[in-house]
Amino acid sequence: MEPSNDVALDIIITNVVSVFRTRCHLNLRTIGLEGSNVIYKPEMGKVLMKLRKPRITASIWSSGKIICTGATSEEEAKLGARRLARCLQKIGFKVRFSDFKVVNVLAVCSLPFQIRLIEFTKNNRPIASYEPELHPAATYRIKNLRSTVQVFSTGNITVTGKPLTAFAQYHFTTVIWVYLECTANTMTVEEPLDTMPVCNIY
Amino acid sequence: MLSNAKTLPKLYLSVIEDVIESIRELFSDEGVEERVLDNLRQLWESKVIQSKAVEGFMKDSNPSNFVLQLPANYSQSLHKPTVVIPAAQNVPSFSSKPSSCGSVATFSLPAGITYPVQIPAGVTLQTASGHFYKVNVPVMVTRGAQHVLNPLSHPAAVARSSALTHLSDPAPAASVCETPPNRQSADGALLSASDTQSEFTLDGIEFSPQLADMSTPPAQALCSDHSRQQTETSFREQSTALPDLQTEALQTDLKLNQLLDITQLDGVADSSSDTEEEDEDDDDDDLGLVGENEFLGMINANEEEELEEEEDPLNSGDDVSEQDIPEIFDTENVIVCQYDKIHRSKNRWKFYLKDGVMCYGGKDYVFSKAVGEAEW
Repeated sequence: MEPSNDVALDIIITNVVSVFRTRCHLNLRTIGLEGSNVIYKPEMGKVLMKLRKPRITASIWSSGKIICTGATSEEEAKLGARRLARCLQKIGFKVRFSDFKVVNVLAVCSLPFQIRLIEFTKNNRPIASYEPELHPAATYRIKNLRSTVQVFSTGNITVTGKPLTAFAQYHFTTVIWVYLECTANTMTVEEPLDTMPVCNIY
Repeated sequence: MLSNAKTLPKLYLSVIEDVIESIRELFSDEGVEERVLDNLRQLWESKVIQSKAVEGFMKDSNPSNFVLQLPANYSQSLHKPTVVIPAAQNVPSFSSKPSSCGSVATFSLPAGITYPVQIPAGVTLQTASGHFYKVNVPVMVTRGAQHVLNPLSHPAAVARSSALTHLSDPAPAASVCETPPNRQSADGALLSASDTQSEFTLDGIEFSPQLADMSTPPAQALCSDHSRQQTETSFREQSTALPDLQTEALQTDLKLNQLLDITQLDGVADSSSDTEEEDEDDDDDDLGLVGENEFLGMINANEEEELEEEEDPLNSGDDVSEQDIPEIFDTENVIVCQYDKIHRSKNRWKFYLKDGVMCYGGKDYVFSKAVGEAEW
């Protein structure tokens, strides 16, 4: 392979979705009236509460289940969830912070080259699927990691999935990258890259 | 904002008016004295002035208050009501009317009409308190707080009208000019409104003969033709018997014409504008710009409440769950209104509000539509 310049690629985690439970029934109307920064949606049976500090939005159901979205890292997600539980506690509910779990992490990466999706899909037939009429990206599912990679012809890729830990996420994205790199290189790359670029995960 | 300053005092005054008038009956039913009602009104007005929320909030000056005095016969079922016309009297622009006896007072009700005013028949008038009166006969309206210009009210007509007046508020006319119709001219002219509608010349002499019946327009409105016919007959009776009253009529006539202006402020000149409404319901506006922040204080209370211990490794909640201190808007600026639409995209909010009152910087602003944008 020809040596080429190192290219730093940024893999950016853009969204971390987590859930937790308060183990108590929550009166949505009370939260809607007394909480701060809340949006009550009675037609959907939930309250949205937005936090500024870790910028997160939480959907709160009356059963006590809460889904927390918008965090940019797992730690942040946990911190935000706890803050949220604290808010609810201050309103007056007997909140217990339990069953916290990260359920989804979304990371994006922008490859410096374009990808020919049709060929890419052909080469990765069982794993990748591409329906241009439905979605402009090719979907690449990695079973053992339980992740989905969406590959766009512009070179942008998004990775969603349930990582075990953040570290796993990192490994996971690099693996993806390598995978793509290989496949891309052999068949579809417009500007070939020989060395694996440095991947930074934000 | 500035344009609000002129209409707002009127609006508030008319609101106060309406409330006081509508509860007057309730109060009297409950046995509460009128004094209390007046006290309430004084308190209310003084508080509004004190709060400086409204500029130019002038209380009514006395001339505006005039009393409808009906002849003694009327007082059977009527109590003497007081009509309070909202403030902001405009100087009447019709200068010709009061002076010249012979002028025909035109009936139009802009803000600045002067009395005496002719009200042609068939007009529906509305008092400040909202009662409607249909004037079936041409009427001359004057302001004569001291005058009871109806030496010749027919007892019959009076009785009928009084029987029918459950209307506690007077007709918009401050005092009804019930100068005895000039019977000489009155013979032929009966209650057919069309006859007398056209001319109401005050050559010092001619009055619409139906004036005496002016007090009965409400009655007539209620009783349709029945009373009308009766008054007609009564008119006829009286018309023949009053030659000597003509001189009286003349004299009262002159007095009448010396009366000064009364600005009529109801009906067309109603002070409450259509576009401004106060709505005190805050049912829908939970997310008013300040409403959200009012409760930040609650969150910010520095009580260190602990989260309960969990079977899961959960800390005591002190450190982890403590909120950063958000900025507190310690403000009294409030908007109370209804919403048309509240829209949010990410953190951009758009508010389409209607029918509200805003207290901003200590001042009150009333609006029928308000649009706002904010970033959270």
